[in-house]
Amino acid sequence: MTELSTATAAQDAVRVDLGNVQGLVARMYRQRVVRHLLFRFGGSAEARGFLRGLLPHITLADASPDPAPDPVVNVGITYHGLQALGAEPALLDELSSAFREGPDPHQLGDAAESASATENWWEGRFSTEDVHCIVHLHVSCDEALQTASALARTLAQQSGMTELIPRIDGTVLDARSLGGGKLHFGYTDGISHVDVGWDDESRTPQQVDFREFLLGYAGAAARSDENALLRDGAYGAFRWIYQDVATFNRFLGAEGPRMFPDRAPGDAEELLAAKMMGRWRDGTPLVLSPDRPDPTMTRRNDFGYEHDDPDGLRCPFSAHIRVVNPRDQRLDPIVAKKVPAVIRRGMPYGPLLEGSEDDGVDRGLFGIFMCADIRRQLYSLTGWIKLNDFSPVYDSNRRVQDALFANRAQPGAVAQFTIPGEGGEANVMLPDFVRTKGTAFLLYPSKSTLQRLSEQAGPV
Amino acid sequence: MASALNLTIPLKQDEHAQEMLRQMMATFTETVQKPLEKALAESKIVHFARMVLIEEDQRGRYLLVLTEFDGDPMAYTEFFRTNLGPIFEQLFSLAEGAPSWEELDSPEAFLEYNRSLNLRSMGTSADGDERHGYMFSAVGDKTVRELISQGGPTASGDVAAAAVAAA
Repeated sequence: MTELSTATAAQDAVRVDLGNVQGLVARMYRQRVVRHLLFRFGGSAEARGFLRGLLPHITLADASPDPAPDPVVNVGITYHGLQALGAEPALLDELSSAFREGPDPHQLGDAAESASATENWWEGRFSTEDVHCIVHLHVSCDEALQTASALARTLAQQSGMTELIPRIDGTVLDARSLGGGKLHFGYTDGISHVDVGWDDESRTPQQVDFREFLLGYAGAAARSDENALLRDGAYGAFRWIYQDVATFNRFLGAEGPRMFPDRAPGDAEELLAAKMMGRWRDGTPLVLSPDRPDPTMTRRNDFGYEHDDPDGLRCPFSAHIRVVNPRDQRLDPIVAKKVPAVIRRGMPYGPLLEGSEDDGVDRGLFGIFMCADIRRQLYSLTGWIKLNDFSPVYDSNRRVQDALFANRAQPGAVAQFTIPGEGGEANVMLPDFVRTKGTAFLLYPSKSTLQRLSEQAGPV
Repeated sequence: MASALNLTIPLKQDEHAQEMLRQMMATFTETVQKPLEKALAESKIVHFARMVLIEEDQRGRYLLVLTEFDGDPMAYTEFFRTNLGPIFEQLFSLAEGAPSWEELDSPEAFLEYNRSLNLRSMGTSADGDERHGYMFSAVGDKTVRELISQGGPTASGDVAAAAVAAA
């Protein structure tokens, strides 16, 4: 525990010591290659030895992200991993029940008997309970990837750990930038990331309080350091999401011209893609530029819905960015007073696919969604994605879903996408565009918690 | 479909707690029922709600809070913590082994304590989530909002809400 955070956590003003926070939590590194290595611990003493060996290599958030260290090394540990480490009961008791219970497919929208059902995760090679830790390696090139992987694997081997290989073809979870910040459906990523204020005294009104993401500053932990064993750590949901690009492209090609017959077919496809996301594929917000992408607006984030687009004429109510961040739109009294936020870290994996013929290759996104409260933040957002029932704007039909990322097999949902227009609304039925292939809930412990975990010998 | 809450609160057996329980029951209509009904009507997710006292040898043993509601349990419990905090503080002050209200008065702690008191219904879940157990519904998975918008129960719901608002 650092002197600064320890001394001031219980008082009003706190400045987070970023040297105690894992880099992945607070920084967005822009390396082009990422590898996620999944491990199962062996004995607890050996597992602690692994953490001791890894700790000097962990990238902390006080390291400058530009230029980024190479490699960037971070580690997340699951609840079963913490148990296997022999973590002390007081630390385990501080963990939220949502973390202890692990990914809940009902809350995540991974409906039973759908392709995203948990029995299909990890290509059936192991269960989520087998995952004890994930080592994330962000590197600049493939040579650096081999070096960084060798470091983690050698340490793991020496510590009696088993590397879990999550694909039938024997490959591991590597991601590579597609260039230009693009994702597999062609949208531009990384526009509206949460701006976190890490210092109470200098936080601006636009910034989000770090307590939304870091553990150990609320409740009993804020009152006593003895209850703050998790301070400066964060929860993260690692999600392996397959994207069905061929189905997506076929859908745009068939439905775009039908929905917007006044436009040339290519333009109609682009408009339908924009209506589903809420931004044109170059990032231009529909609310600001509803008719065409505007190169001067691709990074714009200064818009709302309540006054700028109350009827969804520009950005449909079920467009992805309007669902996961309804901004100033009115919410139901039953839901949280403010829109929940998560820190997103993601990178596409698999080769680009153009056209509408599937090549059978795995492609999609590895996403890590970080927060301090899994239920209030992560599960609220996944709940809104699976069923748009959180705001009066959906009163005409509260069974619709996120246009892009919802599971159409969700019980009670209607796979209908409504696009309001001046001449009335148009509707189109949505297929599945994505599939969950694995999820693990991870704790990203602070440096001090990692030290504590690596040293202590709890009950075995 | 709707979820059931079968909150089963074991009651303290000391004389002071039993006297507080009697006082609460004597003033229940004014101090609990009215604010409860107002909040339930506003929530638009609660189908039915009632409270039952199980007595034995003229002593309150358990208090049951039984409801059927739509949607996410976290949002549900959090709504009631923020809108009906004083009522739940009073209820849980009568509960054997309950943490103090200071400890309970956070989203996570309040949800956890409610979960610990919530009994699973018997049988096989109809909604695929085996944590729930069996519950019959004659209206399928229709939500309160849908039922209200379709007439029928709407009128009585609105009348009840209006009555509370006027009271």
